Amino acid sequence: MNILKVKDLCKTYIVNKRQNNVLKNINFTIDEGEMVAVMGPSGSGKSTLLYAVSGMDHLTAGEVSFCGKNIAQMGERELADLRLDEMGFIFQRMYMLKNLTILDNIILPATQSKKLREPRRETVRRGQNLMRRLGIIDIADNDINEVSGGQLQRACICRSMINGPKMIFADEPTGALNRTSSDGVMEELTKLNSEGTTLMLVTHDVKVASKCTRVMYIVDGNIKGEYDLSSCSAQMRERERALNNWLLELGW
Amino acid sequence: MVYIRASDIEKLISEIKPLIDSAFYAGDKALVKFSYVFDMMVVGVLLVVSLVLVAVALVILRFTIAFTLSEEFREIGVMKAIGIRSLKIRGLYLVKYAALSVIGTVAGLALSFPFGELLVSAAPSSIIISNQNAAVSNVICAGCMVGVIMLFCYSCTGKVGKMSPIDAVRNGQTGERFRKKSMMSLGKSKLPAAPFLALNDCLSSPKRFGIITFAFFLCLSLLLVLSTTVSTAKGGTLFSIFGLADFDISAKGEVMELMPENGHEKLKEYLLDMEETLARNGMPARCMQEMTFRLPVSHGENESGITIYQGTGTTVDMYEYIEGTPPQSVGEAALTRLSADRLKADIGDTITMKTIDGDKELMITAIFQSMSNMGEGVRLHEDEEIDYIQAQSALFTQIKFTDAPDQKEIARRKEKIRKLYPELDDVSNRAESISTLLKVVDTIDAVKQMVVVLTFILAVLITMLMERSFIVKEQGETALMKAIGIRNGKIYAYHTLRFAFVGCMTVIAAELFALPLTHLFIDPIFRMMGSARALDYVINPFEMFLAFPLVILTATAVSAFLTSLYTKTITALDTANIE
Repeated sequence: MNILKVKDLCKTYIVNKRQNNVLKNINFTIDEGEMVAVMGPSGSGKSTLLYAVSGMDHLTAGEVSFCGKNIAQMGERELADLRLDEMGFIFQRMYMLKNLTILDNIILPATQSKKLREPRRETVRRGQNLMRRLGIIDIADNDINEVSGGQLQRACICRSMINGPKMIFADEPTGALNRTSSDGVMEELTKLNSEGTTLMLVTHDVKVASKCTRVMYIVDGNIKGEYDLSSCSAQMRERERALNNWLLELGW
Repeated sequence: MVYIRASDIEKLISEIKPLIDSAFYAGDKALVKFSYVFDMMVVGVLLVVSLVLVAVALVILRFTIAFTLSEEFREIGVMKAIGIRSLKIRGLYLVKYAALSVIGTVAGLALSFPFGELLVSAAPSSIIISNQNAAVSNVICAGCMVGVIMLFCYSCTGKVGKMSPIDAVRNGQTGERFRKKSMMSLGKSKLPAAPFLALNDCLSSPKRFGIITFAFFLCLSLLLVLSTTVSTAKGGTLFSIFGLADFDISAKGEVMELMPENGHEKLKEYLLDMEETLARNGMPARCMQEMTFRLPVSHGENESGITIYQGTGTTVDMYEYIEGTPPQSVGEAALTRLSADRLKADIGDTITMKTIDGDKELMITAIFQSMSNMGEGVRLHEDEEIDYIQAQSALFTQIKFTDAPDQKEIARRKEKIRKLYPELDDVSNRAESISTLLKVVDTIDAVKQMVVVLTFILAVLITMLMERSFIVKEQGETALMKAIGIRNGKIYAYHTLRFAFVGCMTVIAAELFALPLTHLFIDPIFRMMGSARALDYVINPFEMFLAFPLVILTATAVSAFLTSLYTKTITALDTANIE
């Protein structure tokens, strides 16, 4: 079943009276349970694509259908509610509110959501369970500047999961992390995906992309190709090599 | 009028004593100065208002400089990394602030001329000497103000020296672990998210919000002190510090015309007649009259011309004494502390009062306070024999109703008395009489109204400035909140509530300190005028607990809300641009 359907998506920026067509007639779908990576050279429009399909940015033209709803026709409030209840976001730089503890940052979206309508202690319990799952329960009462980058990114994953979203969007989730932390974060994301969460992530890292079920390669605002990794070997090295070869053919 | 300048006042007074005794008025420079103390009070209040405004401006300036430096942390680090010295970097900011302060000072200087004229016209003309060099003094003050601001800016930019080049590499972060910031727990709190975030922010950044609270506290405290002073002065409870007995109505009649022959007897008849007339008209009352005499009084070698008080229709126990017991019989008297000190006498001592009928020995049994006649006075027992031909002046006739009517009834009777006695002038109730005695109450009331407007404007300006600064600094956090789905309305509420909490803290602090501050600043003024003890201030509950707090709360909440609407320009997409 399609969870995200993108049709003829265009995004144009006007800079100093010059038109910059960042995305040109993008078409793709993402099915429920998929983990899709978007790769491409710098300035190719990867992040712009992510923000456009998640409702964070306005479309210049085209249609984006999320769970059957056309987000291009939604108002500010509807988009906010959609992001709150149905989507999760993981950013490269682990943004959190500095005056809240890790746990408070995680449960903040849940306190705003009308989806679950539960007592605060129930929200706290779910937040703690998520933190336990990702192995960061010990830092629940820490401030954001008292934890490592890897722990913070895991906390961001917890925050993105707190309202039980249908899909998680991640913009270079391992971009600011060292290799060990990156591996840890990707392990968690893969686990989430195996439990049924749909993911769309932007990455430069072939190793990260090779963990996904599908990779889209975007160049100059166009999807140049898609590579299905679901039928590839389960061995990570094999997957990486196959993906790397495919990317090289495309000019990576 | 003869003015004498001397280096030894004591010697001068003893040399020209006969001249002083026979003079209509004789006094030293301090006494002359005291006679204008009411007028100086108004000017003093205006000066205090100005100083408070300057203090608030400096507080806000400090905050702005600290905020600017924290925003440009990385840029300063870069400049240091490429070898620019701290002093030169500081110089960049000082040049900027110098330009701003010159522009502001020039604008202020231009406004100072018309505004200064306005303030001078508000101050009593009896103490104002025209200033031929107003322009020059204004320019000098403006120059000094620039100097003060620059010194202040120099001290506030000292933080530049502490920043290191490595800040540039670390993108503004020092890499150190800072102290714990969050004060509250969302999980344990029952508050909805917006008020929680607002309160948590206030508690997590106590210095930042404390500075704003302090600035508002200065303004509101000034307002409450003025309000309390005016309401006390207008409340009529200060009669005792004027050395008066309690009364309901006062009126000025031609009492002095009774004095030349058998003055005291005629006065008694006058008051009795008034009592009977009032009783017949359904207003049973006791009528009283204070007479003053200016007579030489001595104790040992010390002698001074002092105002003597005697009441007709009163008894000594109707007055307030701060030490000792009221004079119980003829031959006893009470003195003010000022007069006792001047004569170097105290309770138990005997003073000699020179009258046309000879010297009278009076034992001091009590000390009382009086703000009349610059705080000097001797009160005689009501039965003390004294020829009223010596009377200097008559205070207003005082009427005290014996059936305890309420304020509404007293007002009605005041009008009735005006009709019954058309020859009487200034028929007033107690509050009006005391206000008249204090002379400057209406002027201080006008200053208070001006301060209300100033406070409102200041609160709006400060809130808008602070809120815009916060929005710029928290752009990333606002974008993040929008990205995770928090609606604009919640963000407006969060931003507005921060300042609402600041307003509430200001109100609480100002209410707690209102009376102590009033005692601190206003008691000395009344003490200077002869009050010997701390006053019992009367608050105006409407102004104290509703009107003035609402000024601050409305100004902060409304301007915070309107400024917070600017967050609408920050979008969820701005998370991609956070540095």
